[in-house]
Amino acid sequence: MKFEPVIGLEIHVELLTNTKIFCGCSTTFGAEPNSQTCPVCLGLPGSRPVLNKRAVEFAIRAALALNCNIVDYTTFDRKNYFYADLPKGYQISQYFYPTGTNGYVDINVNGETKRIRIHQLHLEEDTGKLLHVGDILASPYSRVDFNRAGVPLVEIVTEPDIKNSEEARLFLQKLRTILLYTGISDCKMEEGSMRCDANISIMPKGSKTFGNKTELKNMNSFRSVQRGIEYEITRQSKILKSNQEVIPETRHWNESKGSTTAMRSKYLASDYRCFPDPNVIPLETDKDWIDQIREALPELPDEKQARFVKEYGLPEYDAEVLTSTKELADFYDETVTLFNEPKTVSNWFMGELMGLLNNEKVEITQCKVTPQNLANLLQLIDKGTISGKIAKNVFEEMFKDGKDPQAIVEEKGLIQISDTAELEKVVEEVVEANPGPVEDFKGGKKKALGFLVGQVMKTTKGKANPQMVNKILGDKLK
Amino acid sequence: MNFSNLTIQEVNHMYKEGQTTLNELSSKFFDRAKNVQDKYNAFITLDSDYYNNVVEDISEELGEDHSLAGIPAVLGDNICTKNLRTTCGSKIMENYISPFNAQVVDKLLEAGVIISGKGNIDEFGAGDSKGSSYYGHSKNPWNEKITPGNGAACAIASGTALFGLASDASGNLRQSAAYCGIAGLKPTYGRVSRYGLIDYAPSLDQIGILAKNARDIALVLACTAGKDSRDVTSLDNPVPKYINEIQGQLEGLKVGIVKNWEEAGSLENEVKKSFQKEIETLKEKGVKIIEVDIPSLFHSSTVTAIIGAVEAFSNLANFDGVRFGCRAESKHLHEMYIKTRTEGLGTYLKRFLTFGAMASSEKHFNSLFLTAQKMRTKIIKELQKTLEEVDMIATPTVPFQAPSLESSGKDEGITGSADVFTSAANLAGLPAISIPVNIDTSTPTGFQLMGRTFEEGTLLKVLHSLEINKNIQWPTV
Amino acid sequence: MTVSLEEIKKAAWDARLELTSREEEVLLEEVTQLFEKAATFIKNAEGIDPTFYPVSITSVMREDKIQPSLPVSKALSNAPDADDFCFHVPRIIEE
Repeated sequence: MKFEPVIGLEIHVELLTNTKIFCGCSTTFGAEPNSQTCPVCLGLPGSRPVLNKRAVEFAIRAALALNCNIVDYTTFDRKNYFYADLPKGYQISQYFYPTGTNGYVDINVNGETKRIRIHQLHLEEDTGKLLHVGDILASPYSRVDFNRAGVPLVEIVTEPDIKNSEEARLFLQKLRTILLYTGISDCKMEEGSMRCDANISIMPKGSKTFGNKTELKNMNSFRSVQRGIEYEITRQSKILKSNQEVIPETRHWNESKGSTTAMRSKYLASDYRCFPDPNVIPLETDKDWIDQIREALPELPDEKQARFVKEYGLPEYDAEVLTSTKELADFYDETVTLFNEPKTVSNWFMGELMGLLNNEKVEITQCKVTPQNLANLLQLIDKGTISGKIAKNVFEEMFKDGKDPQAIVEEKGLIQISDTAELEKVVEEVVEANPGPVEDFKGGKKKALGFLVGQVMKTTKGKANPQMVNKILGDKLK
Repeated sequence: MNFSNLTIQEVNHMYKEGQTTLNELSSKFFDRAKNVQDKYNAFITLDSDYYNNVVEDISEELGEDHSLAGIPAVLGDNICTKNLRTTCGSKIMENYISPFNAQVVDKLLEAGVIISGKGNIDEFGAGDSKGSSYYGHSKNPWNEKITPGNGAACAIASGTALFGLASDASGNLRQSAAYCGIAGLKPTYGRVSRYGLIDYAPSLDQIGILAKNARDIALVLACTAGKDSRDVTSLDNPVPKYINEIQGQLEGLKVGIVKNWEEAGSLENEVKKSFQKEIETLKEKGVKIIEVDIPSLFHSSTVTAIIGAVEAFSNLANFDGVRFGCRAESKHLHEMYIKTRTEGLGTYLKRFLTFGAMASSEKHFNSLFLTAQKMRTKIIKELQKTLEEVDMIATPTVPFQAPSLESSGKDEGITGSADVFTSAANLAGLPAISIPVNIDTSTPTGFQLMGRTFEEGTLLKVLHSLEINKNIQWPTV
Repeated sequence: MTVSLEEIKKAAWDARLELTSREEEVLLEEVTQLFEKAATFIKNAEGIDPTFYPVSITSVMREDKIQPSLPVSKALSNAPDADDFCFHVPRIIEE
């Protein structure tokens, strides 16, 4: 029997606010344990939460970027359960009225656009962190750090529109790109500022009824999300093929073992008894504020990509790559305004720039080359001052130390030789020194011309204008 | 010095005239507090070092009119104080020192108030004033065999503090006032910041004021009221000069009497008679008495119990032995939670929290908790409609006189029968005052007036008018 | 609406409490009485919106400005078990 997987994702994203959602403690990552805590985020008796306006703004911004409807009235609700990383005995979350609902993200699956619907996006507080002493299984106690407790999060819940692990990866990447564009989060999975759980079930192909689902947790990279989903699909298929039932449960992805195990506990809460927190009064998001946030949204990847195709005439592929991060796209945009040949600029981006960024593992934000310098370089080629080949070497220099191309060209004497008399002299020398290939060419071996051009370039250390060399050689050997 | 009759105005006068000094007055009050403590167990914590430090820090001018400088006061022990433990009347918080002061404590200290100690309370302020404190019962200075309600009321009635601040989630503060023959005001919800109040039911609880007369309450309210950016439920309505608002005639005022008030469960004859007597007095003063119908009023104590228990189940979940409070050692996290809470909390509170967990469970969420919150809306609407017709609503504070301490050996009910008249004001966030009556008979009781939001001044005016000519013989220590 | 002893045990467990059998009995009786009282108004409440907040104001927020945190030693000062940086809790994994 063939099975069809049904996958929904729940993604938690920490917001890049200065302070926590309900108190003024800093959210800086990596601080000394418990150095960013106060009575509110420690849940000390008598303290009161006060909502951070920017956290709300960021949640609305993210929801708008994901094409959600924005709620006009919301409450902050208590989700009650006991756990060591939860200071108050409840987590404050938007249980009844999420900030955003009914959104979507379009992903590109093998050249086709597929729409993944967003069920909801809601704002909530993060928990603290448990630091295990040695091996978690053997440890007699755990240490608790509440620095992360109260850091604002949005949880994004998709509809079960994802069909396989590859789509899950594509969706996560696209989501991350969009969120990075909006600037609400740094989306670092390795630091836990982006976390993903997956709800997975399978059903016979063509069936309308979903199978029992498992919730998969603890996947700490895009790669482990993919692996975890694949493992779970295989595991569930085996169970169904042997005519057994999948147990609906929460499962834990073990990265080193490459498998999932059930998380069973008699202490797991089954009933969260959610109700509005009387200490955090309701929030009415007025239309003007939402409009303001909407207007301040940057151009998002899909719009930008469409513009690059339409306005710059780029191929879809180029446009997709160039808009993969906001910084890269902005860099490109700026270069094009300085050197208005979009396709040439794109070729340089797709080839030289991204090649070097990847090889040297440098982020575009740390790149020493500026759009102005890159445009200057392209102008030098355009004017014939340097050859395209030389330009590549110049670019490497620019990438290394951020120098202006003009300065490099002058310093190293790389200016292209376009003087006919000078070139004729070199050509003559080469013809004289290579009677064999000259004969070959005259005898009809067209290939021999390439060798002779190469010799001219060698003599001039690559500075000869290749078009002119071709012409002069051709005339000479007629 | 006759402590029992002192008022803030009189102490200010004594300071001004040089009849006493800060040192003399404060040490006499502290000595008396220690005596009263031995006799009535009014306090959970009386700390002479803290007391002396507070006295030393007073830099305000003494003896100014309307000043609280150099005035001894008592705080219910669920109001957070830096440098002085806050136990909430619970074993689990036996050694808890809050890293911050409640907003009201900052305001009092700034005004130069002498905080004499932390008054006894029912564990976390939950209960029906018969005493469920880990630190033992307080006794009523009028009659040692009956409860005084909370320790703050006891301390004031026995002349060890001139006023007190305490919490009121279903009527505790007003009931304590009634039992001790003093006045108690629960202000409008949001009038006084709850920052630093360890409440069990945040939508019901409010810090209120206990004192012997309207003038004193007016001064303390003016000092403690106002918006606090740390409590979003505090409101920034202007704080009037309450001291001026208490003056004047009552003529023309309309007071509503609930149609079927006499049908309230466990209404005692004595209470009924003294209520009627007080109504007669109001009539003599030109107050118009109007019968009003508030059909859902008698559901308020049940509704309050359900909401209070659910909120408490959640609000007191942070008492888990991790970041503060006592811990019962156990090898496993959740076993530790259970042991800590089971050993650290009292029997009444455990039943109350368990009931809260039940009333909010999937099975009962709609039928109990949500229904209670809907009934709350109904009760609020009925009260609002009534208060369009009349200026305030009069009831007895408690349907009975202070219960005997012997009977409190019995298990208290999770719906307090004492809350019949008081809890509606908590549901609606309305201000309500308990006016002492029957003080001459040494079994005091209370006359409650519930008013419109932010009209505390009018309630105090009635209190002021009724207290004139009352020559009270306070119990001697 | 009825209530069983099992339900009381479950609710106590969810509140991380252990009641004595005497406490369970007392509570069972109290809850039964309370259910009877609640039954008298459950019909009256139909079609009414619940009130979770006694104030009608909304949308009170603060600016995203850093306020000083507690010194670590102060944050840990009331902890029953801690080292210089962290709170300690007993084992989390079940046997």
